[in-house]
Amino acid sequence: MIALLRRTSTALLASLVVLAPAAADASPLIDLVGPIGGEGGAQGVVSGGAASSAYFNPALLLDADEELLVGFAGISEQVGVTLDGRRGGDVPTLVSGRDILGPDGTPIPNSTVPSDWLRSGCHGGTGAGDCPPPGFAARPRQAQGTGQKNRAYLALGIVKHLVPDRFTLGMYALIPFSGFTSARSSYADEREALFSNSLHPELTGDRLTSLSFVFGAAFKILPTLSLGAGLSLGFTNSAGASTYVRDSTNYDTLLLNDSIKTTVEVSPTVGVRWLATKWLRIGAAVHAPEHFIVDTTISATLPSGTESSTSRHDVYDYMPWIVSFGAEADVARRGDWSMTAVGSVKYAMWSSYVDRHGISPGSYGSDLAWKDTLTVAVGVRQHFGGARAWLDLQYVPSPVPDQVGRSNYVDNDKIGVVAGVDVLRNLGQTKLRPGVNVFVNRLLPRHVTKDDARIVDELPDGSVYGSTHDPVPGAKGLQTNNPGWPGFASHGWVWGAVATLSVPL
Amino acid sequence: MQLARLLLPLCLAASLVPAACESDAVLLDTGADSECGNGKLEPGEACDVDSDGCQGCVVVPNWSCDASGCTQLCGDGVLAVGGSCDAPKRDTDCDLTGYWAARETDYTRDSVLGSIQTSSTWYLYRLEQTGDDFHIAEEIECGVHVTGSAVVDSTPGTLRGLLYANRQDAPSPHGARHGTSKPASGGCAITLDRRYKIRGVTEAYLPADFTTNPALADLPPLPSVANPVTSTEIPDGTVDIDGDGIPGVAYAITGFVNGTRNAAQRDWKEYATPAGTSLPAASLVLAIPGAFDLQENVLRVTGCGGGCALIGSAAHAASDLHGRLTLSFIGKTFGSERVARVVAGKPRDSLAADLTTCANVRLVLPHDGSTP
Repeated sequence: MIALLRRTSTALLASLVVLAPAAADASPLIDLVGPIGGEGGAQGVVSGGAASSAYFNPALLLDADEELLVGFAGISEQVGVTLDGRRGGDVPTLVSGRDILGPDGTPIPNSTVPSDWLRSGCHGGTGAGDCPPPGFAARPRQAQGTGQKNRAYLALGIVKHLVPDRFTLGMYALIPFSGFTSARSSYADEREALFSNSLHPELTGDRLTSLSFVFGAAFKILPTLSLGAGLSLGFTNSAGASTYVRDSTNYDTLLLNDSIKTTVEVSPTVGVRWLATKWLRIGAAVHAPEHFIVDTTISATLPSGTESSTSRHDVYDYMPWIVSFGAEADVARRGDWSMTAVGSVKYAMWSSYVDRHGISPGSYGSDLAWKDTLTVAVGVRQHFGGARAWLDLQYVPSPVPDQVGRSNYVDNDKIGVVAGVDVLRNLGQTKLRPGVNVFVNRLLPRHVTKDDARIVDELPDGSVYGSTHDPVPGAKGLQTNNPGWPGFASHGWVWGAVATLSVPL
Repeated sequence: MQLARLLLPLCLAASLVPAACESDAVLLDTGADSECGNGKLEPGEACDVDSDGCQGCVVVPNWSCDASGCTQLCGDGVLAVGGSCDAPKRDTDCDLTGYWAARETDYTRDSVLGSIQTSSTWYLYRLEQTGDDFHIAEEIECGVHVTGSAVVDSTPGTLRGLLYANRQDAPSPHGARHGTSKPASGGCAITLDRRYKIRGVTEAYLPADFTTNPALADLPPLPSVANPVTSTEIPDGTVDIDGDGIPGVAYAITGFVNGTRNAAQRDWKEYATPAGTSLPAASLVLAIPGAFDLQENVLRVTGCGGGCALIGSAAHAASDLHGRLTLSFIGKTFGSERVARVVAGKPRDSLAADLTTCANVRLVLPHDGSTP
């Protein structure tokens, strides 16, 4: 008993040392793709020890072969967004005169622009109705949608049993070929009209290029009980830009000094695996929240002597607390052939989500706050000699409620299938394990119709001209450039295939 | 055997991999503010001339417009006459093979004022003709617009829900819809079989055999409620086809009363040129007279305040007024320039593409609210 406590406390102490640096970057990419290498399928929390277990359940690293993994993955994101036709609601061109006061006497914000400008642009020139050169570029609705992309990745992993059957280390990385990582922010409300004037999938897109390096360690503290701890590596960036604005209509003359700082941080995962009986294995893991933060400070000095500064806190690749639990049971065996059934659940606390601009969705209304989700997966594994095959089905509910208000977060419930096969082959004196893995996620169609009463009326009823205090024609009713108004639909697929090769070390 | 068993999961997953790519789409605006019709090309207008090729200041697919007017695009089954495309015609006389934008025009009477309502229902058809017979090889339904004492439109959910319902092509359990087109009286005599449709109810309310042409009154009565204004019932046999949580099919009503009406509906329509008459051969646009009958039970009315009683009663077919099917030829070949300007993707492959196609179809054949 004392020996057990000593071993347990040693393992926990090692885990705590590893966890001490706390919070940082995210692995939504690894989470979406699932385990690569091994037979984890969609249930890496309990099944298929491999290098990727460093993320899904580090305790399973003890089960992995000591090997080097190389994989090539292709992922196709095909999310279609359909905007409903507008039924009027245009912000009239006369707002461009900037001579309009709201009913409370304050000027309407400069972020309110004519709907025609968004549709057709504003010609740059000096004639009547022209905008100052070079003019205002058109931003047609959904012309800059980002839901259809194909990406390629390199997967690398390594597993080393430092003390065989006692202590194992693993490393796993998923690296986009097209660039190390990228982050792209967009507003979820009417402000996005000034940028892309489009809706963007909230939980895919640039999140599929997220930085994804994971280290893990597993300790066996009892013949039937293992613990594991993993770390996701990531960055926090701070950028400062001090500017002197010589001419606010010509930013070519801007003077600028940059200050950029990048710090490496880590985010922990802990896992446990318990061999309950000869035929039943239990696994559980907890992932701490992860994100990729970019803090930007901008200061500007004008020739008039006016100085102004502001800071922005952007959050990319946010992943919430995730608790996973699974069980794997051997159900049949005949000669070299055996079959295992696997089931798991994953509870993700998406209610804490903050978007790329650091906004909590609940700030748009309590009924628009994101919900925690429970993902359910079931599957089977088959072994035949040196060959393995796996098939998992999973249902991933969307945390995003119907976007009836200002916000336009695009996300769908998903039904997923993951399947793969690998086989152990001899190549001379070397044993290789080539494999292939396919995953398909169907984004179930959804449509939402906006509640006009919850949309920002960009030209409020009762607006008047500032110069004459005459009523502004066209102010009655709702005027909005919210790109998601009066409603939108989304649906699609995210699917991919992975070819892997594992080489014993 | 064991290897096949191992590979089975992989094959299952691979079979689910979608062949087509998704795309974004923006549906046609339904009532944007503009000064369309003043003859001046203004911001937001693609055209502003009096021509069939310029509808609501949007250029109709397969037309091009300038300040002087609009002209059609020739090719893929559309021939220029005299070297230009000013008066185009099809390259076949009565063979209807190809893609067509279709609009059914029907007349009903509302139960409150007894006034005539003119209804347009749009479709994309691909017809295949062998000899004198043709059938619908591909089809999607593109929504409804009704004018008269009130304006009625498919809600976005209804548009999506009915897009693939009531199939008229071969995978339908009732087979493909057939017709004939043959030379007659110097033109073409065209018929299209009677087709029964349901909206907001189960298939059990359709005749088992369409070819027997039963009267609607002889079929099982549609589900109903005692009072649609106060009802919260979900009657047996109803279907929430539009996903709004209310049984039946939803239509948005504006005009003398605003609100949403959910109903159970059943109708049939058939078309034929009268004996001894014909339609012009090789014409790009064909209008075939027809007959129809309609049954409707209103199941729920919502969002209409004190006026709910006014939209809670059913409409009835105006049997003394003959509707028509108007067909406008698009082209013969999927992927050709003419077809691609209307048909955004292979029908039924992509919801977004089909919705874009429907918006184009409705531009090609805009609603005609006139009454006989």
